[in-house]
Amino acid sequence: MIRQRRVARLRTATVVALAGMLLLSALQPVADADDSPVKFLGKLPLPKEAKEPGRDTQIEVFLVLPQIRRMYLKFTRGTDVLIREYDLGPKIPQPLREATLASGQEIGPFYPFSRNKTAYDGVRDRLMVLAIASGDVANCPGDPLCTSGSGAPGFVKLFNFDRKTLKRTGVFNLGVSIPGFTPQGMTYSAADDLIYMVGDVNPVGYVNPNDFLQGNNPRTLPVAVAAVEPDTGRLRWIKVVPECPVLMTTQFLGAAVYRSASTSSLYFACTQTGGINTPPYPEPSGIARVWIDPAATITQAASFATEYFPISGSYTTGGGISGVAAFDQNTDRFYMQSQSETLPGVWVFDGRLSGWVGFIGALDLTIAYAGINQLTGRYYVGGSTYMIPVEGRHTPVPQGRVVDIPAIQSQLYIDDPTGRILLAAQHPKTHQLEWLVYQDLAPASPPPRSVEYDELTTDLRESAATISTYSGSLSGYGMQVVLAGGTGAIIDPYCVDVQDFGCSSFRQALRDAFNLSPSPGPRTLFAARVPSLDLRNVGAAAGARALAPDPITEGEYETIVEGIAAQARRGEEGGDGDGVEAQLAWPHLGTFCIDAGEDAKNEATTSRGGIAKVSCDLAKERATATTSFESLAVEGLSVGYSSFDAESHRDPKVGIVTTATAIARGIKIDVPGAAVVDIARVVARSSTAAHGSKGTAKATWERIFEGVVVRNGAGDVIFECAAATECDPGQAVAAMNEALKSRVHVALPQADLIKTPGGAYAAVQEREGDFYNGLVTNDETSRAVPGLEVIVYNDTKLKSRVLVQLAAIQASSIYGITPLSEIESPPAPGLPLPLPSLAPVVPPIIDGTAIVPPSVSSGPVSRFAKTAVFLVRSPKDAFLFGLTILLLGGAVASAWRRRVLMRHLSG
Amino acid sequence: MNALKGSGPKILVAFVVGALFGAITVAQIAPNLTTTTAVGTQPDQTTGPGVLNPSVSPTGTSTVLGNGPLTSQPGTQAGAACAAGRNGGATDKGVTATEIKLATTVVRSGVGAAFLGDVQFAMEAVRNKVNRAGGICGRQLTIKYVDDGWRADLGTQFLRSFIQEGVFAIPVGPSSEGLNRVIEAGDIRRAKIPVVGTDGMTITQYQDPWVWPVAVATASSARIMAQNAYKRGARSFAIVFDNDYRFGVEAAAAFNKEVRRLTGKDVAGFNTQNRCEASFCGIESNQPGYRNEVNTMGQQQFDYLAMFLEPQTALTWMSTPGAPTIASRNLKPGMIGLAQPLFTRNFANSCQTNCHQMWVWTGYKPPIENYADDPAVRTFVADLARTKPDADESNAFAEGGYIGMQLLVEALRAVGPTLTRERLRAVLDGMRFSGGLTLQSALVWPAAPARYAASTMQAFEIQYLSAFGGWRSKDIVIDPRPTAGIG
Repeated sequence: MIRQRRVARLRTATVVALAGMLLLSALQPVADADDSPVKFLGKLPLPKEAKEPGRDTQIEVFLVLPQIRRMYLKFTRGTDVLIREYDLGPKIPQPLREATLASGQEIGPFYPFSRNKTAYDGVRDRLMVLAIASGDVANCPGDPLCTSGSGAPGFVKLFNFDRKTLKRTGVFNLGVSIPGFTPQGMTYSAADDLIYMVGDVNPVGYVNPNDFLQGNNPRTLPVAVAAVEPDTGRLRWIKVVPECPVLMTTQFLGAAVYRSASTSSLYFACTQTGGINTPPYPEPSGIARVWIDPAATITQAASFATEYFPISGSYTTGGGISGVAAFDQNTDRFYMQSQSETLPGVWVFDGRLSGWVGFIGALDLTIAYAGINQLTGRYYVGGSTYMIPVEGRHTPVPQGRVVDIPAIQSQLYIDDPTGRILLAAQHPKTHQLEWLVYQDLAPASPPPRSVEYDELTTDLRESAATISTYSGSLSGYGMQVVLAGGTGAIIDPYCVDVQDFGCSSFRQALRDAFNLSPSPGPRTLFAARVPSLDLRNVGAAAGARALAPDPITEGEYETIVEGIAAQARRGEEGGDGDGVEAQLAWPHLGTFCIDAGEDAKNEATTSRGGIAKVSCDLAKERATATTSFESLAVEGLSVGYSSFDAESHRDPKVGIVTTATAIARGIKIDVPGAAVVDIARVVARSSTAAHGSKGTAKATWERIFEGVVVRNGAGDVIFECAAATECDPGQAVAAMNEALKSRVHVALPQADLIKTPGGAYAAVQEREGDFYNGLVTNDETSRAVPGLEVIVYNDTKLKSRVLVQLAAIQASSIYGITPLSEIESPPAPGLPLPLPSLAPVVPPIIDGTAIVPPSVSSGPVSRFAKTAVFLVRSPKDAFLFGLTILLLGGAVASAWRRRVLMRHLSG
Repeated sequence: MNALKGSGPKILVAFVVGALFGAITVAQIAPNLTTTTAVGTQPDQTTGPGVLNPSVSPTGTSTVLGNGPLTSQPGTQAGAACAAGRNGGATDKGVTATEIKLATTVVRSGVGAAFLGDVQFAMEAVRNKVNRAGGICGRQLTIKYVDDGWRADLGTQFLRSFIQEGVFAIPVGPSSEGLNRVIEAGDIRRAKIPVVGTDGMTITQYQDPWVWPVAVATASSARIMAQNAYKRGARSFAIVFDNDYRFGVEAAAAFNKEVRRLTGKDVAGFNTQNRCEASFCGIESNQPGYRNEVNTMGQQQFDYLAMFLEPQTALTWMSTPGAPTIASRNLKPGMIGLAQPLFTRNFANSCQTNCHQMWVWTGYKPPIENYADDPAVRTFVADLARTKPDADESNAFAEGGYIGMQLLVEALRAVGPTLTRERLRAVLDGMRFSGGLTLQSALVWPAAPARYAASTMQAFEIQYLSAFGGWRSKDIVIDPRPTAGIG
C-alpha cells in the first residue's frame, strides 16, 4: 500500500516536473524558438487608458532619443492628447511622467505623431510636432492669423514643446509663414540649426487632404523642400523639385525627408502612384537628392542642383500611398520599401556611391514597417508576422534572416546603443495592441575591408633569388543589350491588376496558344564579346563570341528549335528534322583556347556577320582575342558594327600588360518626336601594366566620340562635332539628353583606374557605384566600363528597362615579386589574417559625457531565470533536460531508498 | 547488503543514462562554435618558417593527432631541416631541394566550366601565397593544370600521364569525372600518389586510402536534402539528375534510398537505368532542351524536388517551358533543393525568378550573410581577389578548391623536410583539419573505404525578385549516416 502510494506520488511528481518544464518552454516568445539574435525582453508598461475599448490604437511610441536616454509615447485621455516620457535606462523602459499636449481638435486628425512628422531640437531641448489640423489653434498669441476664426489659413501648424517641462511653448502657423506650402514631413538639423520640410505646393492655397493621403492620380501639385528657422517658424528658403512626380506621403507616416550628415544634401522619396482604378503616373518612382546651401536665400535656392534616381516598385495600395522609407545618417543609405504584390522588398540606395546597391527580398507585401539602428547600420524590415534584420552597410546588401514576430502593427523604433526594438503587436487572444520590447544581440558587423594588393609584392628586383607571380585579365564587348526586368516586366503590367484573371491566366493563355512560357527574368544579348582572357604563370586562356545571348534565352531558343525540328520530323512525308535543326541552330558559336604549357593554340570561328578568333601561347607569354559583329538594332537604337580586340602579354621591362580596344560604329538613336542622334564612332581603349615594384602599376582608359550629330524633334541640328579632337563626349551627351527629354537617357559611365603604389595591381573597371547600380537596377552583371550607355525607362511596379552599352572594357594586371627563401613571417595560408577587432557599439556623447548603455541583464534572480529559460528553449530541450534531472534524481532516490530499506531490515 | 549490491549496477546505469542525456542536452544547447580546440600534439619546428602557431589563430587550427613531430620519426633524414638548402633534397618522386611538383586536371571548357572553372584560381591563391612565403621547407610548389573539359576519357589520360611523369601529388582534382575513373581503375592506389582535398563529387573519392576529400559527399547531400524536406512536411519526392555523370547517378541512388527509408517507398518511377520516368528523372546533360522530360515531370505530384545538375544543364532545364518552380507548383519555399554545383552567383543570376526561393546546399561557409564577417572567409575572399579579381567568390567549388589546397599545404608542413608520399599519407590520416571554411568545425579522415570527413551542410535560399538579391541563410543539417555511402 505504502509502495503504491509512493509510486503514485512519484508519477505525479514526474508529470508535474515535465509539465513544468514544458510550460516554462512554452512561455518563451516566438523569437526565441531558434538561435535568432533577436530576443524578447518584455512588455512596455502602458497608461491605464490602454485597457479602455478602442484606446489601444491611439497609443503609440513616436520618438526615441537614445542620446538622452528618453522615449516618448502619445496617448489620449478623454478628448485630450497626452505624452508619456520613459526612461530608457532599465531593461524595459519605465514611465517617468505624463503631460497633456493639446486637445484632439487642436492637434488634428492626420496622424502628426509619426516619425516623419515629429523632430527633436537638441539645441533648444524641444520637441516639435507637425500637425495638419482643421480646427482652432490655441496658444499662439501675437499671431492674428493663427486661428481659423480669423479667416486666414490656419491649416498647418508646428507645435513646439519644451522637453524639460513638457509644456507647449509655441505654435508656428506655417500656412502664414510659407503660403501655399503643405509640409508632409520634417527633420531638424542641429548642424544647420534649421528645420527641413518636404511637401506639396499649391499657390492658390488649400490642398485637399484626400489628395495626398489617397495618392490619387493625376496629381499636378509640385513637390518642394523648404528650410524653416526654428526660432521663428519663418521660411529661410524653398525649392520646388519638378523631378519628383509625387511625394511619398504615406498615410499614418507622412513623408520622410533626411538631411545627410556627410554632405549638404536632402533626400526624400517620390512615387509613381496609380492602382486599381487609376492608370500609372508616367514618371517612375525614385529618390530625389537636392544639394543645398543652408544659408541660401529664396532666390539662390531656386538653382540648387537636384538629382533623381528612378526605381521600380509599388508604393501604393488601395488606400493610397503606402511606401516606407528609412535613412542611415552615417552612410547616406536610403531604404525604400516596395509593397509590390509580385516583388515585395526593399530597395537600398547609397548616397556616397550615387547608386542603388541592393534589394532585400521580403516574404510578402505586408512590409509596412521599418526601423534602423544609426550606430550599427542594421536595418529592420517589418512585415505583419515577421521581421528581417539586415546588415545595411554591407555591399551588396545581404538578405538577412527572418525572425517570426506575430501581428506587428507599428513602425519599429530602435534604441541604438542597446539594440532594443520597440514595436506594437496585437495580443493573440485579446486582440489588444501591446508594445513589446525586443533586443538584437548580434554584434556590429563592420563592412568588409578592401583587398590590399600590394601585400603581394616586396619591391625587390626580379632575380634568381626572387619568384614572380603574375596575371593579366580582360573582358568586354562591343555592344550589350539588356532587357532589365525581362519578359515579366513586359507582360505583367498589363495583367497584374486585372481582377479575376491576373497574370497566371494570361500566361496560361500564352502557353495554350503558342506553347510559349518564357522565363520572366532579364535577357541579355552581347555583340563582339570576349568573356574572358587570362594570362598567368601557369596558363594562357581566351574566349570570344561574335553574338551571344544569355544562357536562359539560349536555352529557350534551342528548345524552340528542337520543337520545330520535332514537328518537321513528324510531318507527313517524314520532314527533314535534322536539316531544319541545323538551319535554325544559333550560328554564332563561341571559340576558346587554353595552353597550360603544352602547345600554343589558335582557334577561330566565322558566322553570318561575325568573327571570333583567339590564341593562347604560354611559352611566349601571350594571349589574344578578337571578335566583331555587324549590324544590330533594338527599338529606337541601332549599331552598324561593333568589335573588341584584347591582348595580354608579359613584358620583361613593364611586367604583365593588357591592352584592349572596343569599338561601336554607325550608332543611331531615334526617338520619334523628340530627337535623332547619330554617332559615327564610339571607341574605348585601355591598357594596364604592373611589374611588382613601386611606380610600375599603370592604368589608362580613354573614350573617343567621332561624328556626332544631334537633331531635335523638329529636325534642327542642335549639336555637331566631327573629329575626335573636337568631340567632347560630355558636351555631346548633354546635348543628347537635352534633346531627348524623355524616358530615354544617355550616360557616360566613368572608369575606375586603379594603380596601387607598390606596383602589384592595376585595373580598369566600372566605378563601384555604377557597378552595383547596374547590377541591382539594370540586371547588368559585368564590371566592364562602357564608352556610352543608353537607358530606356519603362519602370512601373516592375522593373522594365532597356539598357544598351557600347564599347565596354574591364582589365587588370597583377604582379608580385617575393624573395625565394627569405621569409619575414607572413601569415600562413589557411590561417586567417589577424581578426580585425569588431567595432563595439559606441555610446553617444552628449555634452562631453558618454552615455553608458544600460545593461539589460540584471540581478542574480534575473540571471538564474535567464539561464533556466536558456536551458529549456524548446519543448524538446525541456523534455530532455527534465528527463536528465529525473534520471539523476531517480538514481539518488533509489540509493536513498535502498539505504532506508537496509536500515529498516537491520533494525 | 546483498540488496545494496544488486542495486549498484542499476544506480550506475541510471547515472550513465542520465549523463548521456545530459551530454546530448548540452550538445544541443551549446552553439556550434567555429573555433576548434586543438587536440593532440601541436605542430612545432617541423612546420615551415613563417607558419603561425595554429593555437594562436582565432579560427582555423589544424593538428596531427597522436604522433609527435615527424622529424623524430624513423625515416627522417639525418641533418635535414626545414629550410632551403637543408631540406634533404629529392626525398621522393616529384620532390627536389627547391620544388614540389604537383599536377591536376581542371575544367576550363565545356559544360562543367560554369561551376568548376574558378577552382584553379582558388588553388592558385593558396599556392601563390605559400610560394611568396618561401614555400615549404624551402621548396616551391609548382602545379601543372590541364583542362580536360570534365571529360572522363581525357581526364583519365591526363591523370595517368601525371602519374607517369612522377608528380608528387594531385591537389584537389577539380575535374571529378576523370579522377573517378582512375580511382576506380586502381591507378591511384597502385601508384600510391596522394590526391588531396577533393570535391567529393563521386563516392569513389571516399573509398580510396590515397584520396582525402574535403567536401560533403554527393550521397550525403542527397540524404540531407531528403531528410530536411521530410522534416518540413514533404511526403512525396521527385528528383532530376544528370545521368551521364557519376555525381548525378550517385545522388539519385542515395536520394531514392533515403526516400525509401523515410517513406517506405521508392521515388515514383525509380529505375536503375536512370531514365526519366515519373518523378525520377535522369537526363542527359548539355542538351539543347528537355521538353519531354519536363513534360514527364510536369504530370507528377510531389512535395519536394531535388535537382542534381551542373549549372548549364540546370539552366537549360529551368528555361524549358513548364519546368517546375516554387511558384508554379505552389510549393513552400525550399521545397525545390539544388545541389552544391548550383551554388554560383552566375547560376542564381541567370536562372532569375525561376529559381526564387529554391534552396541550394553547401558544406562550406559562403562569403555572404552571417559568414561574410568570418575572418577565415574574409581571408579566402581577399586571396581569391588577389589572384583573379573577377573570380566568383560565391562559387562553392572554388571555395572547396581553396580548402583542399589549404589541407595539402598544412599536411606538407606537418611532414617537414623529409617529404615522402608515405609520410604525407600518415600525416593526413592522423590529421584534424580546421581551416575555418567548412561548416563542420574540423575534418578527420577515417580509414578507407569510409573517408567521410565532412557531413554538415547548410541551405541558402535564392532571393530573386526584382533583381538577384543574394541568398538567405536557412537550415543547417548533419547527415547522421555519412558512412552509408550511396546507401
